[in-house]
Amino acid sequence: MFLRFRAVFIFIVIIFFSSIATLQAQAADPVAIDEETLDAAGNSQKNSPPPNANLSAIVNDAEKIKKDIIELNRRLYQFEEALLYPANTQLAVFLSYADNNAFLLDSVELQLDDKLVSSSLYQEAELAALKNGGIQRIYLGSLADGKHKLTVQFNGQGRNDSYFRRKKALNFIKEEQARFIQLIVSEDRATGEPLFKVKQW
Amino acid sequence: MLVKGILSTWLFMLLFSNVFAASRTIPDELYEGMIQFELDSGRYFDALVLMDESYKKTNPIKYLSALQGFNINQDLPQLVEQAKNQKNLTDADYFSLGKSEYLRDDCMSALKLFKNIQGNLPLESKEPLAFYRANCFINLGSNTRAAQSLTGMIGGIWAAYAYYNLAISYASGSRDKTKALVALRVAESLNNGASKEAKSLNDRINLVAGKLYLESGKKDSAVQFFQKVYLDSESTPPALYFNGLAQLELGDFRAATQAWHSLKHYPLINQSVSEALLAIPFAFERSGYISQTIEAYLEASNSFESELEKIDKIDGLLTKHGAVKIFIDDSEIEGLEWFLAKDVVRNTTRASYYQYLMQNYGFYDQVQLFSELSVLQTSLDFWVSQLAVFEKSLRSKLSSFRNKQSTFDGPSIIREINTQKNEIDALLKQSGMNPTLASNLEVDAMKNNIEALRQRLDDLQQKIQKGERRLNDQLTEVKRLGQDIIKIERNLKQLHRALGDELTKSARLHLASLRKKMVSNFERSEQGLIHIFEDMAESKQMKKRNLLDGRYQ
Repeated sequence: MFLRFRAVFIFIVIIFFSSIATLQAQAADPVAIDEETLDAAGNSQKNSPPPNANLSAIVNDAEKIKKDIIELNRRLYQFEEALLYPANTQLAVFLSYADNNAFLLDSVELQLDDKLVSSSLYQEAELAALKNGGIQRIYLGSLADGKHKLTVQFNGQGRNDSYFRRKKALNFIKEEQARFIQLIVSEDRATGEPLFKVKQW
Repeated sequence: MLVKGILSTWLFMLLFSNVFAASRTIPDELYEGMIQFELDSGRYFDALVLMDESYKKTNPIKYLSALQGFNINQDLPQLVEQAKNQKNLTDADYFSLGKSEYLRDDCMSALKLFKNIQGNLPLESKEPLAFYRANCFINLGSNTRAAQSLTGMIGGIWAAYAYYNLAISYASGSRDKTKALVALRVAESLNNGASKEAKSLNDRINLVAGKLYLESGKKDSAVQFFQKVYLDSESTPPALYFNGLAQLELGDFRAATQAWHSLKHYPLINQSVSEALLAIPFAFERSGYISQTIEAYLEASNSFESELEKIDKIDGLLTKHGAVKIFIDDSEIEGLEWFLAKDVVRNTTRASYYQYLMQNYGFYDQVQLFSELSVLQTSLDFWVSQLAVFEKSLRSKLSSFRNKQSTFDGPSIIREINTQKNEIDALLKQSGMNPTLASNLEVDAMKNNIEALRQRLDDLQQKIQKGERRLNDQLTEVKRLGQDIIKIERNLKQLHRALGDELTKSARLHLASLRKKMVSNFERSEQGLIHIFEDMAESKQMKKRNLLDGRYQ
């Protein structure tokens, strides 16, 4: 019995001293960074929680709902367009870039019969999209048949950081079918000045 | 007057002639350009709304890019297979498909697709291609192939990131850090942009380079790199911490503690800041300043203890209000202004905890999904109000139409037209009427106008017959669309709630992990204190023993 008690006592003493040694070792090396916490880039990479079945179900449901809402939005836009801008009264104005164009568009203002109907500001992503062949619809509306005037003002920077403000006016006759007008931003190769062309569909 | 009335009614009717026209009237070139614009601007939802079935069939690669951009991934494998089997795929198509596979973490498939690219890729896609290929090789364990795929990169952010990733891969895979350092040097030389992203990458390059030099024992070089890191970067806390460490190893105690003291301005939940708090007393102790050591350990313990209280408080708030109210919404909860404040400074408590949680990819994805669902909710709210306006307008038009219809007297107009026609006929039969006089009086033109009026009246009568039905059809469509919105909205709200609950669980899980680390930090500072007191006790004991020991007298 005594021997047994002695063994337990010795065991406790060993544990006590070894824990002190551990404490000292830790105190002596406080600068050892936790590799799990800080990767080589100094970014924190926390432990990811285990895969969550509930979350996977939510993600799947979300994908289904996204598809449903996209489809519903398409129907709603079609309905709205047919109701407010039917083909026979519709006027749509588009903006695009010609190839190899260095003009940086800041903003566009569109006036219809001397009334401001639309204005757009351009950020990097939108300019890149235009340069990549994208076409932006800058106005969609309904218009009575007859003579009308469309005025567009372009503001932006051309080559050599020179600032430009250009106005382009177009007189047109609206007839019984939809009218599509495309404004094309291009550039004078020789002078580097911006040019604006109009294409009517 | 009569003619004007007829024409205005006719115009009114024409407004509704194409209400349910489903086929697009816009020229294909403009339509496709519009989709391209939305895709390249990153507005995938708008691009998907614009795409009709025929566009999706003829442009499967653009369709799958838009789906992937809006995180709809279920159909992607099938769409990629379909797209692969298309004839006459261009280099740009192979690039898009390969990128899509890369984003789905299928590097083998991505590399196979990239292999089909013949060299006709536009210049702006060449650098991303090299980046994706290199990353794929790194993921598949071949740094050599990754390095080979990067040869010939001209410069820019893609190239710099590619070499940075290669450096990280070299550093983690080998004891010899030379290759990693060379790759970092190349990354730095290629990163010549002045954008925020380019600056951030430069900071990361300098931090990693410094750390590699420190690990190799070259403290002087390490310090140079750490000092290049800007003070307003996410790399600043680790750079300052390691800089202090390198300075201490160089024997510059003052510079080391200065670097660590400056970290006190940063949130403690950043582990580099915690490490710096523990390193300060260590440096004091090493320099023999015992009282400062004790003070620094006490300060560290208090800081960790106070952060632990904060963590517990935030955990309590999460349990009570949920992660959405606490971290995402613009909430105003009484008594919580200290936490919910969104000041211009980025180190508010909320901002630092938000940043901490968002560093986890899983949590980030959940928040992104939450924000996508919020966008969808906003779009539904918009349409609910639009439909209410449409319905009101249609009802008013229907009522006005019914009024006009009740006052519209078709037979009397026909009688009027016939009278006019008879009068013209009578005029022609009058004596003295000859072709010259008839021409001067424009009798033929009058007859034609009368005929045109008759025709318009016939058309109008037909349209009037259809008009009410058409308006009713539109009202039915408004009702149907409204019901569909309500149905989807119910599911969306349910999903939003479920995701909010998951976000709360996830945030609490991460906080628990942070708490564990903070407890460990607290214990380390307490152990440091014990160690100091033990040393002091031991030295006193030794002194006493020495005094008592006759051999030393």
